[in-house]
Amino acid sequence: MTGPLTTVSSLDLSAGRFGRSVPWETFARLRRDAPVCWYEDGGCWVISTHALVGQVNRDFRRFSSASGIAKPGDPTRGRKRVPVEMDPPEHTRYRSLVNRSFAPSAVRSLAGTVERITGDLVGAFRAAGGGDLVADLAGPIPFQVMAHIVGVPVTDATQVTAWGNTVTSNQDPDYRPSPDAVDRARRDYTAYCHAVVAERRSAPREDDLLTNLITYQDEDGWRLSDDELADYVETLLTGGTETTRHLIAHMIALLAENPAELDRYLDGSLDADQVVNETLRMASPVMQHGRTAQEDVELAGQLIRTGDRVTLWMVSGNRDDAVFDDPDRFVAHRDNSKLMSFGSGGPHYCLGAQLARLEGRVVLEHLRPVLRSIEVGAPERVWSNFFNGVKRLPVAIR
Amino acid sequence: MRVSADVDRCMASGQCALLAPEVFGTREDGTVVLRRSAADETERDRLQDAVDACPAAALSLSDA
Repeated sequence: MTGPLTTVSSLDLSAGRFGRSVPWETFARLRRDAPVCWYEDGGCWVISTHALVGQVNRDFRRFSSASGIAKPGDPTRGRKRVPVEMDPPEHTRYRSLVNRSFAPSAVRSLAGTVERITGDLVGAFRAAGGGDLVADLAGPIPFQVMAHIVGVPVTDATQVTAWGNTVTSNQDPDYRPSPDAVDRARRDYTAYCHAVVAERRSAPREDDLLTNLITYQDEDGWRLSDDELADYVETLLTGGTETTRHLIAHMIALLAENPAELDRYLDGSLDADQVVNETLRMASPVMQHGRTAQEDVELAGQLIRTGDRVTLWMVSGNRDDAVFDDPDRFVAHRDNSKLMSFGSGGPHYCLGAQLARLEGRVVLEHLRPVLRSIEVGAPERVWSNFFNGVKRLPVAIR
Repeated sequence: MRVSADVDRCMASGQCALLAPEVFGTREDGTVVLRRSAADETERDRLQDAVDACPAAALSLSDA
């Protein structure tokens, strides 16, 4: 395509399009020519520059999460999902109940657990000579860590992962073989989360996040409802697994594609943190999230009207050359302090950001001995315009 | 020990106010406001957590 982006019919940000690849050139053109662009097929505004994505994300009063962030709120729910579909001050109350459990110090105290889980799974992967990195490592590691935090059996991994795959935003025929597959998965996943809460209520545990949520009461006697508790379970299980899985898969794929950077990691010029952060920037596992305008707002010469859906594309902001030099190159020693992969402002900043980074570092360090001798196949992508997802990544250890 | 906050860097994530509300507050727009800038040694761990959690690296502690 040449010339300025003037017609929205040339814009394709469908899930199917992303199933092929992230449309990097499209985002580059949007950033240059139409950083606030109405996308007819999606019924939403597409915001693509680093500056504007951050500005709108921070502006939680005028751009609300209360009508859903992946797509307009599911009408059958009739209530807002805790806490992702809330705004301050309501959001603050719910977020404050879990924040301390994911603070940097809390995450450091999980390091032993993350090491143990990763060591076992990487050991098995190496013994098997490799396999599917997603099914064998990238999926199970974050799930088992989250299962430890929430207190559900590790053996629930396959079922919960399958539900998560189906209910999160995608149009992937593997994950959503039929429209009623989605309804069924939503129902069954919700029922599972309620069952987890009920079990914990009947058998409370010490030093346990979920038990603390169940028994929490504020000074007015307000407690969390069963629906709200089940929401927490689902948000933690899904939020902690759907996302980090893609981070780990992308990291291995990117190192395989960038042997000079791999060498620099292996010779100690780069540390694991730098590799993880550059992967976060390049891959942006959560590519975008949506907000709903609460009033008319003029932005970059466009008029966003009350009720308009606005999508903020962190995957594009992370490639903005106004902030990152040579943004499409994997350069792990760059200054990544402005990456937007965990959010770019406002109170919904990723609860698990520190935990995700820890998991990324630990798996990289455990794979370090074999990184020179692995053969990485082509990643099979998830059909989603929400996650930059990898479904399968064949890896052979020679 | 002194606490400082760079409001220009702040991205209104509110993490500091959730972790150490006795020192960090938020304005209407969610950006940080310091309730006080002096802290004693017993508060170090808790305040360091808030500093580490800030996604914009807008906070710092100094021995002054």
